[in-house]
Amino acid sequence: MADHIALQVDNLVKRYRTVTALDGLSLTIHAGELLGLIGPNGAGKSTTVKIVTGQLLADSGTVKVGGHDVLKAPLEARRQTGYVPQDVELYPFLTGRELLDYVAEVRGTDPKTANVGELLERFGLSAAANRLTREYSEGMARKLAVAAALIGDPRLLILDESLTGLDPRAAAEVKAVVRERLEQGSAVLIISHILDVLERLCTSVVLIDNGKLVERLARPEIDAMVAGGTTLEDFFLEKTAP
Amino acid sequence: MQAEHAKRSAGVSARYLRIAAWRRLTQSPLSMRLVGLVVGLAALAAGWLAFDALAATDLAPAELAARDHLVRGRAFWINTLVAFIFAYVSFEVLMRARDRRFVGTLPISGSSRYTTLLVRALVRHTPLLLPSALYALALALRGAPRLATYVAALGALLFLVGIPLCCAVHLWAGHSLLGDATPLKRMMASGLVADEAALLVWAPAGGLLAVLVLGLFAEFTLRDALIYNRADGALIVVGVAAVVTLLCVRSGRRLANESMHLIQPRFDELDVPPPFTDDGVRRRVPGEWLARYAPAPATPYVLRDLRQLRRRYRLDRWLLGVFAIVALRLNLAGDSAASLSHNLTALALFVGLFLLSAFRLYGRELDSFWLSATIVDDRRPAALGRVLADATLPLFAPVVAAVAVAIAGDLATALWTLVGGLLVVATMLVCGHSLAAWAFPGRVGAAAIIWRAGVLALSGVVLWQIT
Repeated sequence: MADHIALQVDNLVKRYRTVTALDGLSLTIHAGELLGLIGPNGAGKSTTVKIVTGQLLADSGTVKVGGHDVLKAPLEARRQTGYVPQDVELYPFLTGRELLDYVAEVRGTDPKTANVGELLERFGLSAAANRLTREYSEGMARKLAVAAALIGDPRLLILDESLTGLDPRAAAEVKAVVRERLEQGSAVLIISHILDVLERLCTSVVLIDNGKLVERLARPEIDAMVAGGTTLEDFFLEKTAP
Repeated sequence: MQAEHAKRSAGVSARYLRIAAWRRLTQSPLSMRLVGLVVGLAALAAGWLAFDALAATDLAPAELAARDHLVRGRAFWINTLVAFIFAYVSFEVLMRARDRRFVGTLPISGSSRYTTLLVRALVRHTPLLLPSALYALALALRGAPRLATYVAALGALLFLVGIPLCCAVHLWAGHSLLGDATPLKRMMASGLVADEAALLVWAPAGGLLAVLVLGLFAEFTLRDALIYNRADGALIVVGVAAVVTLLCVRSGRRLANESMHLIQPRFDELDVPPPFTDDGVRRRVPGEWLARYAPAPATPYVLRDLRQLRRRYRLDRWLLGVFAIVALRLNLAGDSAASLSHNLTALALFVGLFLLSAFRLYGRELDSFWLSATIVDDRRPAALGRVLADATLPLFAPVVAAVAVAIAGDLATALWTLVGGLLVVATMLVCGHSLAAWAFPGRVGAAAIIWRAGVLALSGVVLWQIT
């Protein structure tokens, strides 16, 4: 199970007219692995996530989620992916509970077995469960989006700046959820600029810049680096110095 | 398995989206709902008065053939206008649905997504059935049941076939995004959009053309069937319409199932004009000269809104060309130019429905809520800037109308059309922007609907008075 590849990105190239956003990027995330994707603004992180989640088409290269090509078998790939976008857009005139029910049903899961009530409670949204999502604060909307991403037991969870804007309790809850997912054999991809969190949580960190992979650090390397007095932030600043 | 999932997810989507749509409709503030109700009823009443007046005019000739001719001509123009609207708006529904990013990452099959959007397009356009229905009712009540049946049948048929047809055309055009930019596409894009997206620019026009071709066929056969009592014609037109609809829906669903997940992301990527991505943004947009004459405090707002409007809505200036055709048709149809009242009513209707951008400038499309709320100390220059930026296109409409009247040979009316037209445009700008500002930030969309209903209502009353 541990060798099962949850996400395989091969030689991804994406150009926006004259700008090359991704220049042959390759990544692999195994089941049970938590990979942090870091890089300066414009490095290609969001482009990568958009291609992985089928929101953008690459010029060349392939993306497979759980062995399913996102272009050739989009439904299978999406069934295995839980995604929390950077900019959360919800249906404003559904309540929080209805939105989760909707996601559960679309994913082919009975809302009862999807434990919608439990998810709402876990993220402190029970009291607001029957309020329209348009009345939610940004943090509440983000928590609801995380809950929605967990429905259907996805094998790959992608969190794009999902810790930003959360209160400490909610952030702790998200981290706990991430640990649970890892224990259950799922893989997690986190894109974040909160480097100290990634430093503590991730099993590996990938730094990309100008659409290329600069360096991949495994957990032992991160530990050794921190033990030597260098933080992930120092590493980032050094590797991305102009 | 795939088909079962498609069926299930389509049902799920429809159920939840129906709940959301109903709430959107019913959970507006009470004041907004009351205003909407009053304006809606007024629009309906005014529409009735206008169409009743038109029916009276069209049934006035004693000769039966002349009546038929007038009614068929009127039905043709009503349906052309309706098709023009749904050919363009159905494109927005299909390709720019607000929930596309949320839905795009869920395991929903392309065919069920297409079905949801098709139903959404049909529901959203339901009010477009009203013009034909009101005109048909007026004809029936004035003792022309055959003509009434003909008008109602033609309107309903073009609506029910036209929207699936347009949606299929948009999707086929969307599919062309997946190919390379050919020289033909480059020529068709004319630098307005990315070359690959050339067919998409022409898709609404293609949809309109397809509906008009179908409309001509339906017109001939329905005329034979319902006016000249040749019953087999009705069977033919219903049969052909059913086959066309079925083919459009089936081929659309099949194409969506194969490639909706490719078309939508490609469209989102290319839905930006080339100058924005190739070599930066063009420094100037048409109409910036107006900012020189604006009061100094309003100048930054004029430039801000003008640049946003012209860059976001790049095809709006073509609408002036459409208005020129309408104005020429109005003034060259008879022996002399149309009256001042007719010209001003047509102008108000066109500007109010198509050229006024108040609800875009105050809406979420172009406004920055937090900037508006935090950095603007004095709201008067900001409001003035918005009006002036919005005025750049509508201000040309009176000129176009006046030229059309002058071509018809009535210079005095042309001059009055110009003066009166400028007053009408100024009044509409002030009223439209006041309404949008009142509804900002939460209910600009609802205010836009109220505005359109109000414009239709007033135009209907004026038309009733002058006909």
